Amino acid sequence: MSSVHNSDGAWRRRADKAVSLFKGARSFAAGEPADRAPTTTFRLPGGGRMRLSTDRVRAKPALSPQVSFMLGQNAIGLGVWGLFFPNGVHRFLGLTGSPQTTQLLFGAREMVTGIGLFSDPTRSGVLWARVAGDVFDIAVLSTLNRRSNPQQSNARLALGVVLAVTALDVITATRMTNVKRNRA
Amino acid sequence: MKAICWQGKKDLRCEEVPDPIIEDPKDAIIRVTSTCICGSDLHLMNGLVPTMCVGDVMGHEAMGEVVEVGPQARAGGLKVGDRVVVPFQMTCGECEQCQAGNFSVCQTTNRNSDLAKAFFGDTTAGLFGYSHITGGYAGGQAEYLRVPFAATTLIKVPVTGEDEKYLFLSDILPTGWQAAAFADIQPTDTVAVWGCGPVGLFTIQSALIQGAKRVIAIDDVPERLAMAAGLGAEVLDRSQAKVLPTLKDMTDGHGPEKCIDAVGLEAHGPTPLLGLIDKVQTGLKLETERPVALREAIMACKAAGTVSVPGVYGGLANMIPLGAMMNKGLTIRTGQTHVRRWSDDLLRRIDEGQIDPTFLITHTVPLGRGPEMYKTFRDKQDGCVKVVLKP
Repeated sequence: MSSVHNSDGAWRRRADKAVSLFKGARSFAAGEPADRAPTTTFRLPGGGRMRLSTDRVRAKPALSPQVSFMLGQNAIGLGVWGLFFPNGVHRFLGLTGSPQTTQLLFGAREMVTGIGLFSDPTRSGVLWARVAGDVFDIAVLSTLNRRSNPQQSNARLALGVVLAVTALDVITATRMTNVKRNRA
Repeated sequence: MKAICWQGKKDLRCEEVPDPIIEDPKDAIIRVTSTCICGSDLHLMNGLVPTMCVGDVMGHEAMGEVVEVGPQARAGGLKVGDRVVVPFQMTCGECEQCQAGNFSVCQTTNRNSDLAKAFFGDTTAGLFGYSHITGGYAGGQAEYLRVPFAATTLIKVPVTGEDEKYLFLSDILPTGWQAAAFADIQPTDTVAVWGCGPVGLFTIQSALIQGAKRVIAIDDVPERLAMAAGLGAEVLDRSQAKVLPTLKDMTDGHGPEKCIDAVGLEAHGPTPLLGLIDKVQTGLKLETERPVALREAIMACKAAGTVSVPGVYGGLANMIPLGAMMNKGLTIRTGQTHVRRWSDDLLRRIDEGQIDPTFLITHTVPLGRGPEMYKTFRDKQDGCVKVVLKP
């Protein structure tokens, strides 16, 4: 630890670039010495103000847990759609199978993976399960992306979204699988 | 330097963070020699405490050696080389609450007091590594730690003796002691303690030292119940017997005079169905806690008795039996521990050999293995009761 040693007045001379946490934290530098905790002030509804500080000793935020958590939230939303409104899914995409099949293969699947990631975003196995589900969705939506389907434009839109989400799932699953939590 | 950092719900990592520096003349920098994983760290890990932010450094039980002091800290009596225990809370020593000995609600040290007032109605003290509602301060599961208000916060301990002898003065030993003290134990009292984790075990030990006639320890983890029995408690294995009727049977039908909830917000049970109802409610954000032990403690307590609550709660809970609490005339005592109120007395008892706090340590590992040990501790694997990390 290079910066910690015993010397008089050293606390004033040493400045360390503050790591900002809150939005608008760049304004910290204007009013605060650089070696102080990042601090910002929020306006509250009703005219009040709230001053918030964080510590400059903190790690760089990791993105993958947040993305994983959001994927879980979105999957729960899709799960609700598929489980409770399968006919709506059919109408939107032009599906012709039984609603029970949609409930099982789409609604229940999304709900299970969604709850899995919502409760523990570090579960890389669930993320890879989502990738497998994405492949299935791409296959189904590819067959629906045909002129004879009156909802072809919706199917094409859904296919694009699923392809994008698949990329996100693969990246997040890969990163979460390779996280090194312990250190020598 | 290395530190254990919170990167999201259930995502802890040992990572590089900036070194701490003296930011205020009252600061000191500590080289951490030992630090612990606390049961309440699990609440943070599991995302149950609001205002944790990604990148936060964890840990509020630490001790070490002073390696740098600010001018006012030096004037307050600290010097480089002092061996110190770091209480989990900062205390200014000057405000109305500190003067009254209510150190955990110091009015000065929480730099996010606006947020605390919004959540709780008044501010609490600043805590290390314990979310932004308590100041957003970096925690002690790191190689070095900045201690604000160092001269009035730190506990100096003798330079000899292993760290483990003094380390728990930072939190769990005074927490157990305060839990028993708040129960106002009389020589005729039966004391029931929910939870035989580290705080529960120290509560049992403290209740016996403070003169309880009987102590009944309630848990369902065999090795923890064995530790409680080793301290002199009668044990009630909740996996084998229903808690409330068994307690009534053990106490002539009225219940224990003093009941202590050393479990807190992530309790399980009492039955799978009732446990599921709490889990669904917390999942839907209809409540933030699962206060099973608190409900049982209120229902079990003898009329005109006292319920002491060292277990951590953070937000809102449903189905608290207020009717039983009111009509039985119960006294409820709770709060974060006022560490400095008890630390001098406990330090003396440790040095005199009356209390040996080392009995509950089951795992000592390097700091870098902290994330792994969090899971071991959470899942109660490998007989884990208390983990000490060595930076």
